[in-house]
Amino acid sequence: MTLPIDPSIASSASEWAIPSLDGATSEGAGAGAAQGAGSGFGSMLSDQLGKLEATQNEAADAAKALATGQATDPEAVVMAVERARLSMQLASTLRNKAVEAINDVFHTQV
Amino acid sequence: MGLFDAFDASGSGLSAERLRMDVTAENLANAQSTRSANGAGPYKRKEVVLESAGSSFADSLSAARGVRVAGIVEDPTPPRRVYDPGHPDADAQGYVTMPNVNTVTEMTDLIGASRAYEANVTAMQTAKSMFARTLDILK
Repeated sequence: MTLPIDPSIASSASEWAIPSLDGATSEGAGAGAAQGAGSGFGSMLSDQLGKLEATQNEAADAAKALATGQATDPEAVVMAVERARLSMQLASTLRNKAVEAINDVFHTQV
Repeated sequence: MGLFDAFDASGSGLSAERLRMDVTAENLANAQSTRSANGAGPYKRKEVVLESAGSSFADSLSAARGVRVAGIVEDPTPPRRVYDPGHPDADAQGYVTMPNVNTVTEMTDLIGASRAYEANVTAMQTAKSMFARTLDILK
């Protein structure tokens, strides 16, 4: 997948590095840039998107089981659907915020 | 400590209260059953025993663990003896051994389970709206 935001482009700002996530605790942002997009924020993003997709699939399966009369636990179905909804809400809010930020950059007067 | 710990806890509460309601419904349905399937006298009132979930150390580090069903036990109180000589299950003295189910107790249990279910739903809705309010910060 393509990575819309790569913090490694911030070459000198050490506060952009997320040491606990990319594991490069002793290395600065410059080392993070050398590692490329395979680690750090990019991999975290793709991990989270993968989890989001798994949650959505789980909710769809639960809803299907309820519709076909196989579900014995309606609460579990409701919870799966609700968890998927909230996860999607979180992801879309974060995505909107990121798009807003990148638009702010594009609209910078030069 | 995940995003949805409160959800999982409330969800386990919902399942537990629904089971309580199921068992209460069974008790009410069998309030007049003088025979049981295995031939061991009248129906015995059943009760759900709930316990706090998560006994392992890893579980104890999590704040919200929910509830789980420890088991469904039979009420040991003695059965009622009702004088009804015409009943096919009456003994030599004309007494029938009726189940130890008290309909009034079952009705209060039913109300309790229903209210506890509502409380769990409210807790879940509150957790949901707290999460949504957190997201509103970003808007």
